[in-house]
Amino acid sequence: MKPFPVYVGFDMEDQGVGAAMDVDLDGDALDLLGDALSDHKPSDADFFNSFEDDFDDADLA
Amino acid sequence: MMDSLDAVVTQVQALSGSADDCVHLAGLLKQSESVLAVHAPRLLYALAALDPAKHSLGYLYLLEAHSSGTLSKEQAGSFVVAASNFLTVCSADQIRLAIDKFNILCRRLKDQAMQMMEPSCAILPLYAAIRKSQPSSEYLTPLHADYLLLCLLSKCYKAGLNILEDDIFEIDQKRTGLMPRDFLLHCYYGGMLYIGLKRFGKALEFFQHAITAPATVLNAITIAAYKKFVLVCLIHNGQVPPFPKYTPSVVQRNLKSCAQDYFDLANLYNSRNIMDVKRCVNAHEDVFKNDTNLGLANQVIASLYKRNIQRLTQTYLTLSLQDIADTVQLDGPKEAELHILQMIQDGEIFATINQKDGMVSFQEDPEQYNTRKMANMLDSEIQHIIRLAKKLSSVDEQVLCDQNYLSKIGKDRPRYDPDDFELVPQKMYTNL
Repeated sequence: MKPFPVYVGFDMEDQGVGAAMDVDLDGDALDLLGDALSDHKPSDADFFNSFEDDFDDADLA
Repeated sequence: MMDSLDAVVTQVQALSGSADDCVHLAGLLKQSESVLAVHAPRLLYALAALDPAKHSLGYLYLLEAHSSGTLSKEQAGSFVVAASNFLTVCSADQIRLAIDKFNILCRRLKDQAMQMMEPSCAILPLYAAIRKSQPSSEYLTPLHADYLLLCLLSKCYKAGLNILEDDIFEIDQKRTGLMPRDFLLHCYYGGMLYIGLKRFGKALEFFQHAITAPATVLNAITIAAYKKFVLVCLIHNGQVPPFPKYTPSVVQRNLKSCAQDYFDLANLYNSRNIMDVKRCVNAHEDVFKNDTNLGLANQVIASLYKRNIQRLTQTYLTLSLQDIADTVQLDGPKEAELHILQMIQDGEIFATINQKDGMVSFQEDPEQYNTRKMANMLDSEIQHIIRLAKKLSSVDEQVLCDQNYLSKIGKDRPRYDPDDFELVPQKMYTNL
């Protein structure tokens, strides 16, 4: 991997956010709903994920 | 005497000319779905009377109705051939009038290709279908995820780049039939394709979209994306960052418990101790195997060797292969030489090996950024950023004029601010 001094994309601390980004204000009620449902099985559990393990570089040796 | 199916065919042949006729035909076909279901055994003969390019809308309805039941092996083969041809030649304007029906047919083609264990046969037809159903290349459709899935199963990773490299700006459920699940799958399968191409930075971008998508409940696709995200972060960056602020709180609170083994590995990676990391991967091998992430976990181990060697280049100008092997915990100078050679080939370090005395000399990056190729690359990146900035500005203007946004802003601010109405400053009254 090439030298990568800064991981971009996650450091939002220094960036100002406008009122439009404060959507979580109305999400408080939705958060409670999420907590109530968090014990349940995750949704879309039937999605296709039956792949072979294709990312083992030992196959390339 | 013409029966109801013949009447439908006649209508399709008569009303597939102008745009207005096609809109009228779309309404008639919607009302004729029960007729098509009743005459299912005869639909193949009816299809023979239609041209898939000229009568695309009618052909779509009949083909979808014909394939809606259980198909024998022979019928499945015929359906795949007919659907592939149809998707390649059909009229985009006509099929957009029945986009849900079109998506169902494409999904059925994907399912049949997978059942026949020939996912590659549906790649080109689905690519054509995406381009025909998209109003423009900026729109995400449900077919994107299916296309990427087929590319993954066929191991045709580069074919996935045909759509992965489009800049997606538009999510329009009405025009494309897109559902939240389709968006998450596009992010997950897209990330996997980029892993296959060793473009880990882009893979992380796609997994991040899946993790931070608005959600009120935990989604299995998000969990799977996060597990791969952790491993790819370790390979590419050597660490896992905290969740961004805009990650849904249900994801932030619950994801860790679903991926504890991955967290354990990430914590141990920070110690940079190869033996500890190897022991951790062995201890959780069953979990990684079940998630088909063992290959990636092994890449995490390999990345730690590379990262430890890279750290040496920051301290030493020359070092013997034996010293490198001892410091990085490799089996011996031969193995160290193999690692160094591979890293030089991949451009991860700049060094020369003196095989006579077994010494490695580390060098600076020779890139001076003063070649025509580099200038062209920089210019291309700058042009891309300018286009993105223009697009962002245009989206910002749309949001500022959006009714929902304006009413929310209005709710958060008090309607009247008393300070706005103080015509005479308070201090003036004290002088009276």
